[in-house]
Amino acid sequence: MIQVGIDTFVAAFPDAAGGMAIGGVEAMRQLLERIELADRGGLDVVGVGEHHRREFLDSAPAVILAAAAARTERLRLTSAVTVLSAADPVRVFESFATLDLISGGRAELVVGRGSFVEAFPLFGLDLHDYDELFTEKLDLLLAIRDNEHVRWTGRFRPPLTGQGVYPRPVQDPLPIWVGVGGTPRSFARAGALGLPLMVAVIGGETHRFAPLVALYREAGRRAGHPPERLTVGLHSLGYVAETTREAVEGFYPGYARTFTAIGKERGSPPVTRAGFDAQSGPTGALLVGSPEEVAAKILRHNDALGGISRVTFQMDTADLPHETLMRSIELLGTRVTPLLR
Amino acid sequence: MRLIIPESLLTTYLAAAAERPPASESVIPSVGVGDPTTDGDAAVLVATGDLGAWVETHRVVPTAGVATTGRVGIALGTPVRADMIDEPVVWLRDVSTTARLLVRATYERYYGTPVVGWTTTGEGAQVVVVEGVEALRPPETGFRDDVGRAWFILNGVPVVTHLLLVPMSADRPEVDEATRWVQETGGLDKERRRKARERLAAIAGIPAAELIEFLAAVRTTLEPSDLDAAKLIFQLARDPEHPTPSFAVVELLDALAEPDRVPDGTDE
Repeated sequence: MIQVGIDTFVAAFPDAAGGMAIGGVEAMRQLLERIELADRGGLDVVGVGEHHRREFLDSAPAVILAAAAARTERLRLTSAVTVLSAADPVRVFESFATLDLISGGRAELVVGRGSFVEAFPLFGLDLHDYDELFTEKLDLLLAIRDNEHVRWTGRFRPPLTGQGVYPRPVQDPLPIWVGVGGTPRSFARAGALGLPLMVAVIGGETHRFAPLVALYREAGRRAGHPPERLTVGLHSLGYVAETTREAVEGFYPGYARTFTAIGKERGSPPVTRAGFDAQSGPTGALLVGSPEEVAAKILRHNDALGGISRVTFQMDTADLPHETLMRSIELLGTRVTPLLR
Repeated sequence: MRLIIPESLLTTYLAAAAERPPASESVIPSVGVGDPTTDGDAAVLVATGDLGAWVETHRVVPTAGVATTGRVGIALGTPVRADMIDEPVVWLRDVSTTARLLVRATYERYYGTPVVGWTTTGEGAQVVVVEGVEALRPPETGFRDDVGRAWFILNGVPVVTHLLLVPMSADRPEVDEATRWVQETGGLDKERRRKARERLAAIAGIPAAELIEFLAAVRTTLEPSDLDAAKLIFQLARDPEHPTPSFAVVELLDALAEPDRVPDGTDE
């Protein structure tokens, strides 16, 4: 069975005049309404990202997820991703263990290094330590998850000398996934640790990640982890509408705006329609189309990656109206999910 | 050997090249529409939809033809968004077989609604298929969707609009020469391409920039997998009048060439 979910960055894009098209209060209200619908509508999971930028209101994902926990009954509630490199693992664990209590055992964490870098200067960290920070903090986070009292020393944080970390979560262990992009070392690390893997494929062709997923599974096998523990999830940009035409034409304008702006920051060329069409195709990364086309595409990705246990749709980067996103969530629950089970 | 090049939006450059005096005597290009009953001795660039008429006398060259991953110059004109039409009747208004097949192959999957009727007279139609320059022009009212874009999104393969066919009797040098001519667009240089575009733009009333973008997505060298893409048009169209044709294919020289080998276990 493939679990289906939505991921959000709580986008609130500027309007033409440079102000926010909708205020923060309204953006949060709408988001929680969408999460409630996802819960009622048969989806399995909601993920909240972590950014420290004006256009994404998700700098405190555990707080948002706690609000979601209070309004939902079934959904798994996860970060997507927690920028662990820039956080204190003790505080992260405490927040998500608390979320686990509030939600009755539905909390999860996806931890990663982060694809945006604003968090590093914001929290006084050096980007040169990008990977070492993550390695060390993941080590500590896992130690805290597995032990109530921890003795630990590291380079980037004062030592723990046996203090208890509380509360303890309902789930034992609290699920911790590793979120990865395209760095082979990250795949191998997740495999060696025996942690579930959430692969973010936001461009190109998904099947090209198959060798990296194989690397993850091989690293896990060599480290002695059983195959059933080495589960793979897929996070992609996506949007489902009644017809492929509606989905494609509806998603493209906002997608082009957002990724052209991000590309400008990163020195990438502007988004082109031809590139978008290619990525919307059967093997492309974008899960955009009618319910039937998108379900077929997910099953293709599932085959290409040797089986996935979860797929999450990042829908709110294309600046689609709330009502449109609501309809899309409904279609995910009523028409996509049944085709994947 | 004669080489017949049809005049169409996608073959603009090829047709312009064919109007020039031939550069060699082995391939003599001309602009026109071939006829399988009288052109059995000529190489022909054939619209994919018409392939079935040539399979008795010609073989397909798998490395030359016309393919695009952009717009294809075959469009649907509708008064409202096509996916808002509940029971569409589609008017095939003087369009090619390729256009007919492409629309059949894409409509229901892309717009989510099965076509309830096809007409060549326009009676009762809410959707009209237009081809050529008209497909590139913005509509005065309503919507116009290029079918090539829908095809590419749905299938992830190019639209192969034309295939190069050579007579069964053609020898290897003739085949190679015709293949090269199509792949290299008859050696048409940048300046002549510009003139061809300008001429078309003037006739059609389409901005030159629009034509540049359109023609830039067209290629005349095919990959072996493009033949599958060409067949896919027939398979997905499921048109009883145009079943998927079986055709002979010119073998690639690379595939035939055997590398020099030293067998395992010899004393050498």
